[in-house]
Amino acid sequence: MNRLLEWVCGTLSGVALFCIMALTFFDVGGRKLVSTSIPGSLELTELLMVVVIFAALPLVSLRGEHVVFNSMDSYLAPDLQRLQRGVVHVLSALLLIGLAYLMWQTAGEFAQSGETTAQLKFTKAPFIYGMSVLCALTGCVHLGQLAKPTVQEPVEAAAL
Amino acid sequence: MTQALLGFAAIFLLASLRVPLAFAMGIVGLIGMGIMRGWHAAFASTAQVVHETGFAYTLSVIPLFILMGNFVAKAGLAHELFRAAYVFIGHLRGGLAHATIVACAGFGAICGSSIATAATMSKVAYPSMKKLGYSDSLSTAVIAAGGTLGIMIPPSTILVIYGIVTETNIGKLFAAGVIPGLLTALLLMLAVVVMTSADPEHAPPGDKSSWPERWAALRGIWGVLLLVIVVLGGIYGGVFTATEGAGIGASGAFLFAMARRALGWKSLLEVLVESARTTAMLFTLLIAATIFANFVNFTSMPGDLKEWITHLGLSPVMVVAAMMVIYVVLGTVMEELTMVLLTLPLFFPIVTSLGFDPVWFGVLIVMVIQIGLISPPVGMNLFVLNALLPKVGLGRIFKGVWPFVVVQIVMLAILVAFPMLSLWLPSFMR
Repeated sequence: MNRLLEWVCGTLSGVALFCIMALTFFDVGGRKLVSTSIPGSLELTELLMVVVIFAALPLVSLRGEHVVFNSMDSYLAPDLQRLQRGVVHVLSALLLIGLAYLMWQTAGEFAQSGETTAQLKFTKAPFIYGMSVLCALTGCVHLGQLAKPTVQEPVEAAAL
Repeated sequence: MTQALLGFAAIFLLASLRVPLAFAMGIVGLIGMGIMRGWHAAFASTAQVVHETGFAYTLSVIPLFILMGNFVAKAGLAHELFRAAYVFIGHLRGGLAHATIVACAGFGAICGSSIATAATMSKVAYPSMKKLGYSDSLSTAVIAAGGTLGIMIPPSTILVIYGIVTETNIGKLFAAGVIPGLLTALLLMLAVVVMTSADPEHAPPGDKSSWPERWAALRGIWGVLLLVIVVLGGIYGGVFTATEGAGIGASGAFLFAMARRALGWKSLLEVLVESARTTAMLFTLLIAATIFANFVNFTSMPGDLKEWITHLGLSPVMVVAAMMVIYVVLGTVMEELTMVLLTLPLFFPIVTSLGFDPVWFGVLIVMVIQIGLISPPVGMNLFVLNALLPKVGLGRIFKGVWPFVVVQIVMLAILVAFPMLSLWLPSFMR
């Protein structure tokens, strides 16, 4: 199940990121060299950004890559650590599922108003529904971690 | 004031319970806003922040610079950089340590991450230093300290984040980081000179290279130079915006990696997904920090703090110096990105109201992060080196890094005292 999630979300976010890179390259290159830009490239980048961020979010939770303070760990007994992490996963899941509900409602409002992107006229609502579904999926990932008997150590992402 | 203080206390409580910091900031910001403005407004503003941050074109600069750094690391350009630095200065006492710092500065010019710079250099420089008999504490400390140059010398992920959060021009921030980055590199090298004078047998000189060898090594770094000139020159010269420059840089680094056969389909997808994960992690923090900042801005805390500082009668520079002391102390025990995202809503309005340039403050913020990254007991670069070189041991890494921490604190003081070091280059930009 985890491998399927890694494959689907990884491919989705990775391909979207590659597309942003290629789109920027050809758009800027076209504009600077032959004075021709890709129509709607800015909007496409915006939509692809949603895919990059929200499709990768379940993977961040799955791998425990969120920034956490772990300085207290050495003072807690292993049993207490497991209990603590269970509580944290439930809290994280509740927050993310709540956020998914909020975004679902927002998507409904966008669907009703029929708001589109300015140039290419893509309907925005499906992307916001996508945000909602992926937030809910990330919440489920946290609930799934409850069943894990081992304590997961965070992996530092190279953000700094 | 009380509401905001309660908010900060709640974040620290949740964070110490190991709730991811992004979630802690998001929960506290949402609840705080709900209590102060009503739940309907709190939910509406949260949904708006999530939606607007997700759909922001300008924020694509973040994944693109991360991607550029990851492609560059994969392409193995660090080996050429280290080789080029070594053939020129490797024969000096402590020459490999000097070469590591120069190579880190060069790598920092194409990679915006301190951790990635330190991790990459540990694979390139440590084996050479070990072979020549350098002490473990000096070798690891110099890599950890040199790695921090990755975030000062542009491009820099943290300068991009600072620019986005404070709405400061990213191109100017990048230009501002150049001189402080190079000066920091020089000071780190000075520290190596002092350390190796006291303990010369632990840092023997390498072989002297001939001029043909030196020219050959320089030819090996043409790719790095080209990327630096196109991306940073383009942004600095006003040819590209930072976002466009990031896209060109990522594409250029991708083409280099492909040309050097460093990327297959599998490793390409790995690099893309790794970059996307880092992006998602950072955006979660950015969204949560915005929700929390919205709450703090609704409390009376920013105004009260300004009033309190005016009442104290301190000179403006002393106020900034006091902030820096707080940051250096916090940086020894806190994760640096969180420290900055949590404190910016409070400190930034004070700094601008005192009449200081946000670009200068951005450079100071990067400097305190650099210090935090190598300050024991909680220094991310030290942990990364410990993870990559477990045989060395954290104790020896801690022991070796102190002179570099001191040097960086001196550099911070210089930057506070002489704002022109940061603001001279940006002054030429339109």
